[in-house]
Amino acid sequence: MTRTDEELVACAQAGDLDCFNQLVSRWERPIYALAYRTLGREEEARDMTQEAFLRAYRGLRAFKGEAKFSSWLYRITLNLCRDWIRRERRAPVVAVPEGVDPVDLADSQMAPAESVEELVARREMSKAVALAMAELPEEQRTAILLKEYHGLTFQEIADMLGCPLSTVKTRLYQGLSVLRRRLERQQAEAAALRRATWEASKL
Amino acid sequence: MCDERERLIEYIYGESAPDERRAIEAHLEQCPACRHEVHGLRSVRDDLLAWEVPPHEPIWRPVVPAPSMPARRTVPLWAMTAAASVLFALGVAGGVVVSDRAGRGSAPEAATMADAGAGASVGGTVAQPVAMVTAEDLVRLEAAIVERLRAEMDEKVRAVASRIEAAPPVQRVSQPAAGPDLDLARRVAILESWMDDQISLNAIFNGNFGRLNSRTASLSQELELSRLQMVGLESAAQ
Repeated sequence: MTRTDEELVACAQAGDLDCFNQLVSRWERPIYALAYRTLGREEEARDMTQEAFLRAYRGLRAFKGEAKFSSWLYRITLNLCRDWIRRERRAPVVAVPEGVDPVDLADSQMAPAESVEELVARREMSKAVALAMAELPEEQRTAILLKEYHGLTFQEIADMLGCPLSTVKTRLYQGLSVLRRRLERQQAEAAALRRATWEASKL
Repeated sequence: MCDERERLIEYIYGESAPDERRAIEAHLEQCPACRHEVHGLRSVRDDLLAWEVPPHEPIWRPVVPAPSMPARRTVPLWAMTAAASVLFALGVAGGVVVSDRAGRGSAPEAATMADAGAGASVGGTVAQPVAMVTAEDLVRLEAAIVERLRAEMDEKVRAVASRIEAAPPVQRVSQPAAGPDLDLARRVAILESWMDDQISLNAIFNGNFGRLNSRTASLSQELELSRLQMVGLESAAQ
């Protein structure tokens, strides 16, 4: 029978390392995903993930279970990522070579054949979303990450970030609205480029 | 557009209360602007699904109880070598303990042991060191001391090992693929714990060695005294 997070936490708090390892294997992927989407860098996301679990291990006895274990982990991870961004004075990036124009990138990834068109379209969209998210203010980005990719409730996000419920909703609304405009613009530009390339190929 | 942001956000994420939900749906029927807004928010949510996280190797490696330190389970070679040399000295001294006790000891025991020797000429009260200690006694003594030393060292090694195992999993034991930094950190951690072990083992050994050494010294003195006594008695007898 699968044990709940709460059971595993209690067992790990009693000193059972195996229980802690089970918690880690359960939450490693989501934590890495959160760190990766916050920082946009794989290497740093790995470091943050490792550091987050190390801190969780060290602070396990202090964890009283007021929040869910996962929320606690998310908060540790977000704090680490925020510290990293402030320390390095670097904004989140998308893992593409510097100086590459997103439109050029989208162009270079255009489907050469029908069979991979969907795959390329998905990758294009993945990059486009990453780029658009990277440009959002931190609070909006964090709210969207926690809601969209980690399924937290508004209340959980508010508790985690220590802000009123209405603030969470406002941040989500504003963030989604900005994303929508940017993604629509990017898609329009990419489509225009595709059309231009197609026209050029006919000459 | 009417200011329904919060309510629309609740609605698209399915967190509206049931009656609230019905109210919004009724409103959407009449308000094209809000309908358009909901459509836009839903479509951007669909787009967000496309954002993939690159696949990655497991990051956290559960701490395995010291896989690279099997040698710590046994008493190190250097310790055994040193112990052997102590035992050699003890073997000699131990012989004296037995003979000494036999010499001053109770009559039946002394007599039995003296049977093997040629003590008759100098009388029952005189110590006969060489004759009264058999090779078997020495082997027994040696085995007992080796056993004790080994047990004591094993116990200490175990104590040290369990302390390391109980420690937080700072040494993220990684596979070779986990990158040079991790690997280096792991090596350093292992070397450090090795050093600590060596220091504690040295301390134990030195303690034991010191005790055994002083015991050997005092036994040697007794041996010398007995010998002098014997020589004196022999010359008196002649």
